[in-house]
Amino acid sequence: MRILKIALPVLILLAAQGCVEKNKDNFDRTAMLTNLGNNIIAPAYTTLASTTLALQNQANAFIASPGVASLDSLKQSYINAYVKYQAVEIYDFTPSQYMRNSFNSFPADTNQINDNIVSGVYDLNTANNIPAKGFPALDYLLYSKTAAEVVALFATDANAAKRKQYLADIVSELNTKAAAASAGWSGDYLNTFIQASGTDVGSSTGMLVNDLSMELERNRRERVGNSLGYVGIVSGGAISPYSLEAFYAMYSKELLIENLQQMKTLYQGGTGTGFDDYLNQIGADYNGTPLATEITNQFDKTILAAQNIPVDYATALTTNKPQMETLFLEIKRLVVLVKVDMSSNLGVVINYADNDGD
Amino acid sequence: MLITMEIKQNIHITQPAVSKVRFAAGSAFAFLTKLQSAAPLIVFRVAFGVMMFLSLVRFAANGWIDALYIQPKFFFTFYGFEWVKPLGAAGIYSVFAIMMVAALLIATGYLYRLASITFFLLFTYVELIDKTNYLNHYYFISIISFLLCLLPSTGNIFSLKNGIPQVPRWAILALQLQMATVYFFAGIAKINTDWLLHAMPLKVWLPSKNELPVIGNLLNEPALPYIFSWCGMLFDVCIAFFLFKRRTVWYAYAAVIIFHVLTAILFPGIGMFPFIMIVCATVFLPVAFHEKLIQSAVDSRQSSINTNEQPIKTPQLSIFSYQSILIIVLAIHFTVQALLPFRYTLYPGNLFTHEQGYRFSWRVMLMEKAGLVFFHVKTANGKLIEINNHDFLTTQQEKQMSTQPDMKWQFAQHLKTVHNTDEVYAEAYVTINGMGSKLLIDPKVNLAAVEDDLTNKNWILASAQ
Repeated sequence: MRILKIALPVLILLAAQGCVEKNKDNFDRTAMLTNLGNNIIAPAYTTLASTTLALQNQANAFIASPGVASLDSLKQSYINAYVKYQAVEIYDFTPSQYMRNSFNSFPADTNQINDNIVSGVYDLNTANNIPAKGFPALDYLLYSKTAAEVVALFATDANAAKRKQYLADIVSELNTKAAAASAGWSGDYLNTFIQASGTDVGSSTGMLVNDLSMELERNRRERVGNSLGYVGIVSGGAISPYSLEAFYAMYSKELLIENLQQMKTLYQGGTGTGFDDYLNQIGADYNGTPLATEITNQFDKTILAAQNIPVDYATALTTNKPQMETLFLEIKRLVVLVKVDMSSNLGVVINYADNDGD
Repeated sequence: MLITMEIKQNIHITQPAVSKVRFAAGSAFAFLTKLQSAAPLIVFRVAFGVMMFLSLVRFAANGWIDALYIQPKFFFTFYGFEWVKPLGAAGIYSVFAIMMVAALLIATGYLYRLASITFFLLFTYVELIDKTNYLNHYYFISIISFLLCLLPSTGNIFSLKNGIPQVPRWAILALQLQMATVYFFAGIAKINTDWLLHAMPLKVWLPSKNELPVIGNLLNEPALPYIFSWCGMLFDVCIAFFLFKRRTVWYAYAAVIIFHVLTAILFPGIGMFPFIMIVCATVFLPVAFHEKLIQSAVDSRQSSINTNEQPIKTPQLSIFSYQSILIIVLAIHFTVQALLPFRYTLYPGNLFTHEQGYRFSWRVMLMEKAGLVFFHVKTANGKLIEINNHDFLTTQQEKQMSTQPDMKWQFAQHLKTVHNTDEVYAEAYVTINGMGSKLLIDPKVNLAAVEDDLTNKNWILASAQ
């Protein structure tokens, strides 16, 4: 009791001192969220929406007159939108929740796509159509055959009209959802995002760290691991180029590099305040190195490993497998640093479930 | 009494020594069995029953019965309790419904013995289903309800009009001692270099709450984690002694309220625990307070309740009496309670890393530990393939398994069965109190071939400790 009699006044004194003293060793999460929301996340959705609008215009032009030239323009706008999409796939916030399901569930279910086209009856919102729409479906529709063959499928094939309709429906969904997400982030949601400045479940910092971890895991498993046959019992350990993102367009390398770079931008807050500053401010250490530096270096190593593979990833699986394995291990290293070290140092719960703790 | 019997057989002991021991045992027995007002026990029982009922309702309303006991496809049983199985949806909902009724019966005092035994058995059963859900405060509730089974019934709350009954002193002492055990060992656990010298994990936890109104700004104060760590340790170690002393009990109880309310504000995730402790600690408050409380609660038309002034008869010291058996059971219980927190010393290495002897020791909010584990199984064609843990486990189970070695071994055994394989490997990373993440267990050890029991787990890497 005597101890408490001493301790309590000390606490009260400190409280008083805390109110007077302004210059303190604290980190302003609101400032970080303001930077990330205003300068990184919201603009990424604006950009995506403009590219999906262009995609829709090019798709309409191609549908109006299918030809090699209009297909080429459509493919360009598709690649452009797919690249810009990598900047937002990380986020799973209210205005764009589950966007990944509509946009990028790969590999595409080609049987489902063909069934939908032939029957002409489908509801793109059902679960079994998740791998039959979005960018992976476009990848299959636009790239799985030579340009002339693709044009023929849309111009002269028995199901050409239905195929055109399917293309229009998929592109329309992409554009509608991208526009809605962009509008959401430009509007009130930005304030909601900035104001949820805690670290608990549902806070913006907590969700960003979780989203970052999940996206890194997705890169490790789905963008690389599945194709190597490392992950998931289904492949039985055999390589599976078909599992790659943008397999038909042979664009998985560029998309992965873009994705990693965008995550690094989020982590560093672009030119403003980001998670690296947060970690430095609280003095997070990784065996003698600042944890922030360790993570930045690991981002660079991972991006370098992705760039170092000289051919497209489908080819690399047979010609440059050791380099693909290195890439896999570098991403894994990054996953551990973000999901374990960063989250723990920030006091953020990963994989949170609604439950009591002690 | 046991001592007396043993000594009797020893012919070398002189007669005066025997009678001295017998006298000591006799006076201890007289002290423990001396009758006193049951008021503290009655208030405790009513409050505990009500708290349990509310906690169960909250638990059900949050959808946790479904999330924790119906959704999982696999359950992490406790060592020695592998036979405990979940009951399915209808079963578990019935168990919770019965517990709610039992909690209300405990509060009102109707069918007290049946209700307390039912509550203890069902609550403990639910806790034994899956160690994912282990919390010190659930363990605390199991123990308190076990003690309630042994304590004398004091009639239902409406019989109080006829006067407050009396109970032997040990009945109230047992509850006080259990509360003291919780605080004291929680305090002893805090005496480690991370907690006291590095203010970990509070140094991580406090600034992460700096958006809280009023106190938020204060939480950035670099000295605060140290002050809180030391105050928390001193509070836990000392509080029971001040609660036991009549002169300091009210100050100590005020400190209990301040301490638990503060933890409830800072760590909302701990749920009902602070409030359960605040309510249970009333058992230390003076008898007069409890009697006044009961008096004001009893129908005001009644003139006043008369404390039973029965002549106090001193029970005979006999090993076979009902009371002595209960006292012996309680003595064994508290001996076990005092030893369990130290069982970790039987294992080499760092307790925070290997967690052998971590549970059932009142180590509450003691470390910041996070982890990630990749499991690999060998397939029929001889290739090692990574498993997606989420295919088998809930997020809560994954989270708990990521830091606890024994759960990883259990999951490896499960993978061995479901994938019909002989080889399972775990690549597990953990960080403890902000130290850089390290490999926790030897990734080359085939966990499918390892036997696990209470002996040291030598597959946990020394380099991680």
